[in-house]
Amino acid sequence: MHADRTNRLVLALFGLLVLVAGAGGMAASTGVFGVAFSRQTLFDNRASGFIGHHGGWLWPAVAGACLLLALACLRWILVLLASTDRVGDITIPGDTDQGTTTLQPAATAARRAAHVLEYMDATSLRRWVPVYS
Amino acid sequence: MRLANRPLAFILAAALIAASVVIIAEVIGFAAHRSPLLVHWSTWYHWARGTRWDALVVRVWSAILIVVGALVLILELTPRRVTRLPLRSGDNATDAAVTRRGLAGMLRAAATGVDGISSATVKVRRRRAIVTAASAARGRPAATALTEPVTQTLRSQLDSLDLRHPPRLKVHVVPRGR
Repeated sequence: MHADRTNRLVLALFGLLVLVAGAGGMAASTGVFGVAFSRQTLFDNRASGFIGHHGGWLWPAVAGACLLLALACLRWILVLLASTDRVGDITIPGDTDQGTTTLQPAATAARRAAHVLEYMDATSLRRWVPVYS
Repeated sequence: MRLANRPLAFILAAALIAASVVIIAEVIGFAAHRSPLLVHWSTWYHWARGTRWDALVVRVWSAILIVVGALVLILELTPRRVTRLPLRSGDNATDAAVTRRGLAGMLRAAATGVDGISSATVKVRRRRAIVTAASAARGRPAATALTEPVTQTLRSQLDSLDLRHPPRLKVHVVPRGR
């Protein structure tokens, strides 16, 4: 359903990563990791050294990870754009020798609405059929 | 917020795809001795090799990242506004709920149904329902005398709904204004 939970989770994770990166940069800049470190250049550290020495296999691995990330994001975008809160036709299980029986959600909703109105002595009802998972 | 998250999520997903494509292209370009292909990353590389951590530009960008990250995190972690209050159900497959506006309407109708109450305003929040009813009669004693019957009526109305987490009821009966 528009991936609302995924949206919230990934955006929260993104916010956390950005916050941690900013806090780390500020800490390094203001000398929290030592005055000597704050006077070094951005690439003059062990992590950059490791990447520099192992670039032969590391960068192709990063590219592979980026490919997976891009595919996951593509699927995320498709879910964002294509999904709805509505259920499709419901197939009634059973013998299909003489055809398949399907139930339209609108018919189910109308029947349920009539039941609820009768039971609650209500005057109107918003009909809604959730997606079955 | 749920609706605002959708375009934000779309932008983030599109940005991640774009960044991934650039990185993949640059890695392939570097291997084929044709780098830089899409982005002139060597300029950034030389800039980073010559810039110290205590540079002003690093502090400014760090501050921007802190503000953006904190804003996104606060927006995502703030509890959602409750729009529907779930009802108890004997069947796990049934998800029934009453909306906040619907519950407010029910409580308002119940309060004005009490003899001596001319009008009522109701606010339903996540954990509390605040009802302010106006008595038809003037004077504080008349209003105070109606507090108990109104509270009982509203409580029985709430109980009859069988809410999973019924809000706490707070009732004020005020005398009619001039």
